[in-house]
Amino acid sequence: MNKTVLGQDKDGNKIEMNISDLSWRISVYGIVIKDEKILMISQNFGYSLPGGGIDLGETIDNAIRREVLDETGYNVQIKKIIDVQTSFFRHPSFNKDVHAIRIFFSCEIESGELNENPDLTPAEKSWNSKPEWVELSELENIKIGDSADLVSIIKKSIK
Amino acid sequence: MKKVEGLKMSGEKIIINVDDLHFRPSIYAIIIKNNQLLMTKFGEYGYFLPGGGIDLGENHIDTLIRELKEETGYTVKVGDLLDIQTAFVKSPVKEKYSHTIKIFYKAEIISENPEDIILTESENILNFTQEWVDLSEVENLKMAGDDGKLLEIVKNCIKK
Repeated sequence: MNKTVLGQDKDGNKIEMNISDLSWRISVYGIVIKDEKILMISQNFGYSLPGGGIDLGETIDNAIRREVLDETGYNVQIKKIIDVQTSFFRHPSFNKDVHAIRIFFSCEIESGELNENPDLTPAEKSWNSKPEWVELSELENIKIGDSADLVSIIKKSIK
Repeated sequence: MKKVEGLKMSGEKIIINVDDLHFRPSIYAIIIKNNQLLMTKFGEYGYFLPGGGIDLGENHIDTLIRELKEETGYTVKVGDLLDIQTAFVKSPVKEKYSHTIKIFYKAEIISENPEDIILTESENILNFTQEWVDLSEVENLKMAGDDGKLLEIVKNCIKK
């Protein structure tokens, strides 16, 4: 049985991680598409999807509503599960190595409007995170700041 | 202290302290062949799907292939992602409370090697067995540690 696994930091550098140091992170992300645009989070190191970690004792529904509302200003509802990905990375806020199970859902907006001053964690503030509607036709041209192949995952949700 | 409503494997509702919870991500397969669904049975607790807990450091798809081999002796090819379900449950064999994240994939059997079967201590205690169940019979079965969502997931998969 392997004792280490290959992961990465937020800049994409490969790091060897001890499996015994890993802890779980279960996270959920919303794919929200409206009028040929997708709701994304723009950060210093590229674009990602709104979402984040589930708290212990929290339902998936609640976690996705909370994260998307905090980061974008929209109240959303889950429509369909799109993808699940395993990823090993050094969490930038806690400097901790995590085994992440990342769950992607297509969602639709119930209410709210784009909040240019979202409710952010200190780390998110330092990366200048802000929500933005990105034209689907621009998806191939923007810089993705995420270990997952977000473009393929987003395309899967359109099919 | 923050509390949530959870359940025992018997289906009985219990109140759990959030501080006692640990994440337990797991993965299960829906395998249908000749109008029968491959199910696992935990003695008196009832039926569930083959699969099990993801180990730290292991890709979830590898977990599903490993668990199927250990529980049923089947080598499988993992297909489409079907659904996901979370629950707060008490372990039937230990004083342990889990925040479960169950991931369901469709899968198909490639080959069969009964000598690959290795059951865990918990599975032996729970009198674990496997069974092919007629699709028309699935909704009459008692499911283990489930709030009704499992049947819905299986039904949705059959419809596809």
